[in-house]
Amino acid sequence: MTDHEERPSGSLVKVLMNVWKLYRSLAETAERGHAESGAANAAVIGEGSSGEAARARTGAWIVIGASLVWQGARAAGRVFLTRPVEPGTQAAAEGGQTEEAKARRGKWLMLGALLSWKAGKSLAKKTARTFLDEPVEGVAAGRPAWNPEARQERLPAETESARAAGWEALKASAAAVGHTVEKVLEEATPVEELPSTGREADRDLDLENEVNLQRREWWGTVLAGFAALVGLAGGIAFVVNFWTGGSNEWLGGSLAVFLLGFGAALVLWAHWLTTHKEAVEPRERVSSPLPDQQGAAREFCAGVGDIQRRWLLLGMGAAAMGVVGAVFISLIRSLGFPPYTALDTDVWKRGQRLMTVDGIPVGVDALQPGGMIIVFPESSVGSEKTQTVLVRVRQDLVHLPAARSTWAPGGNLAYSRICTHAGCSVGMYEANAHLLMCPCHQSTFDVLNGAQPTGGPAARALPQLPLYVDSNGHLRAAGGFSDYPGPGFWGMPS
Amino acid sequence: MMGAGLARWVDSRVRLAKFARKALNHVFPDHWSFMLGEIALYSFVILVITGTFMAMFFHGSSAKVIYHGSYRPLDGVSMSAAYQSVLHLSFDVPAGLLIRQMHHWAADIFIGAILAHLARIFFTAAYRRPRELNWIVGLTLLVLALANGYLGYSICGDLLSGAGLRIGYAIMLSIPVIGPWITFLAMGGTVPTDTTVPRLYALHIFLVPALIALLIGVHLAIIWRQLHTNYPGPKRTDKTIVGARLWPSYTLKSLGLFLLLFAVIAALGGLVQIDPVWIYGPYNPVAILPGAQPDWYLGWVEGAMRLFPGVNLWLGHYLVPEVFFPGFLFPFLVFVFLYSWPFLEKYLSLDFAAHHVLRLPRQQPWITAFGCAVAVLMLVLLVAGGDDVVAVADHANVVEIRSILRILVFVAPAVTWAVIYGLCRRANRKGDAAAEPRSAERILAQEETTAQPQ
Repeated sequence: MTDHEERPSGSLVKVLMNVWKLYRSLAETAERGHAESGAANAAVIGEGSSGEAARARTGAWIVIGASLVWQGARAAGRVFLTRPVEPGTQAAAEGGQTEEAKARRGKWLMLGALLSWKAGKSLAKKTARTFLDEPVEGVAAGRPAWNPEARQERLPAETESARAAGWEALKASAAAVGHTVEKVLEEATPVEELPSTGREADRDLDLENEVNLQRREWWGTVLAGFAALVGLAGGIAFVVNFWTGGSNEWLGGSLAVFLLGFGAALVLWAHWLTTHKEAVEPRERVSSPLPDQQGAAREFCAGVGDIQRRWLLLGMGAAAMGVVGAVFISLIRSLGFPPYTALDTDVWKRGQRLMTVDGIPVGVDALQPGGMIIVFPESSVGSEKTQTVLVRVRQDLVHLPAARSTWAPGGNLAYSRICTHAGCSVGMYEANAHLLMCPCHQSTFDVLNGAQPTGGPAARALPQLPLYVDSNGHLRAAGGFSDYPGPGFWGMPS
Repeated sequence: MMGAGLARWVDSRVRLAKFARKALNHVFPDHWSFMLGEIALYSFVILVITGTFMAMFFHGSSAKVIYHGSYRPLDGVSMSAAYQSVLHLSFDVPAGLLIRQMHHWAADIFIGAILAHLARIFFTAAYRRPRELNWIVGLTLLVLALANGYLGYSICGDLLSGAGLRIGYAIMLSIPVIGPWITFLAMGGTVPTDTTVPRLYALHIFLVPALIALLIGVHLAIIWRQLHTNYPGPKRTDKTIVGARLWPSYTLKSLGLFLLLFAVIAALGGLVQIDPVWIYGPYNPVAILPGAQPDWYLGWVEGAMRLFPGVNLWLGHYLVPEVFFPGFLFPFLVFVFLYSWPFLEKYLSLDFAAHHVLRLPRQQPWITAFGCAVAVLMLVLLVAGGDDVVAVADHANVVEIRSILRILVFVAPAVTWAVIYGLCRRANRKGDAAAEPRSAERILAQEETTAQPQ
């Protein structure tokens, strides 16, 4: 409230004097307004001519009334709030008055006054603005947006005089209540003519095409209204569905109807109930005018010139960036360990038994020729990286390189199950063709010949696991994979 | 007038009236093809709304749990906490499945709209000066959208996302020199590890969407400054803009479009199943999922990976694995090409001027034919990405289909180029004849042009 208290409006006498002045000026204004708005004016704006002056008076009185209420209430509130209760006085005892109760009542009084002031102010503002820059209602009898001629018929001189009269009245009323109302009116008054936005020049395509506006209005209302009703029904259906545990289909469907209805209503509104205007505007050059460019450059350079010991500053900046970079790299380091140690780990070790996913050791005759099973080292059953496919073929079909001649006891061949192409599990086995196939990109590997790729995008063989049979007849790894398992990478051991 | 009071309240604190006035009068050209970018924008809004809801239920964790929810077929199955939370959202949260499916559909529409928007820009030469900058911003948005789509369906912990993660891991790992380092940085080790999902989740809901939101802002600010392009037509020149004003008709239509798009996505989310992770089952290194496909927008990379021959490149002791060429180098080159296209076109056509009136596709036959050829190449690769599905559907041999596709990948774009080029030339002859004024009018027009000193 500090805004309003900057300039208190003075004593009651002063207020009353101002009211008297205002009354005088209003009387004059009303007469003058009536005299000046002659027959021509009345013909155009109908009842509006005397209406303007009347409205000016009403607006002024509302402002005065509101301000008087405010001033009075504020004064009363001040009394309540600032004058201390004298303890032990009769009044205090009778009224049961305490400081708190008094303060509370004062606050309520202030609040009430404030609200009445706000209401009065907004009413007055509205009234003021109405006759200061809006057309009077007589003109708006047609539809202003669709009836451009009606606006042009207004005679500016008459309107101006009526406005001037009203302005005088309001100025007087402002004087009555002091600074505040004047400020309000300043806000409401157009200070200078605004530059044109070009909107006035828009071509009205509806008028040009002689669109029947009434038909358009009727159809638009019907269609948009119908769409909105459908949307409303959808919204209600969604809420009901939600609270009654409706199915996904009903929930989605009703939500869709709700959104569809209101979306369609908006689009129909834009199509039927909005005047169609085509705007043509010039494009400005995108680049700045030369003086702006030069000015910016000059001022930047001047600023640089104001910096002393520039090179030291640059050096400092570079050093800071370096430190920031180092800190950043250190933080990145905490995201994980260097990759190569992890990538190089090979968990199949010599002597480890081959286990099924259920942890059962696999014997040399566990599979018939043509059979296939997934195995793991006994230390990490079910792990991703060590998954191995064990197939059995007839011993005489195997033609491994000489160095691997002992790797397939009893026709048991073990290969890494991770595709060397893109790392999928090589999950399909065509026993008749002796081909392992990856379901992701259809690479095929010949199990008889060290799982060399025979088709598809893979270029490297699946690494083979050398096997031997222990004294219990169980299959064990005779070492690690023949090669690095999984997709290739830069720095992969060759 | 509450509104006026509020407006004045705000204005007296930040001075907005001048800007607001300019904004209300901003001119936007009307054409259906200019809605494509708007659709992308609004899809992103819907993604943020639905995604925020989902983030309240999703656990970005690979911790092993045993499922005991209301989806009985998976009762007692060991799975990741992420997968369990997706099942919980889908089966136990009211409207949870709807929101999740809407999110996935919105993501597909988001990327589809970006691609359609890109095609519109390309085929009408809207990337020409001064809009090269926005072409670059838009392409970056596409890259981010593709990345976030992949991240989104990779964190669900189902069997399909597991396969996708392993392939993504293999592609990243294959990049020469830095591959292993950036892979471990992004995924936290040899996939799948317990650190992968939390990292991808953080990227998916925080870093990438924030970048997308920022770049959308930049994209719109640049459009605002440069004003929109116009299709050729009466009064449309490089010095004027013709269209509807932002207030009120454009605003109403655009809001309506947003609601209609939301309605379509809600209908899809409710009625059309997408990414049913409970059918795929939880990720399990031993299990395989035949017929696994990435989301459609990555199908072209998948197809390239299937068609590319197995070639390992050894540089001394260092390996450039086969998957690098189709999985990384090919998409990389596609985007390098796209990024440099406005500048390439500028130097090929020696046209360095600023343009605000679009070219019709037929008016640039060479470029239109080229764009169509690239689009057909992408379509062939998309089909190749599902060659196993095609094989099952046709009872054909996947190897034969692959051989055919390996030929088609070269032939189809070439044929497309020739056909489209011919069609454009023919349309030009017809279009020019139609635009030709009748003889008397032509004489008048000529007199007018000679009379006016230009």
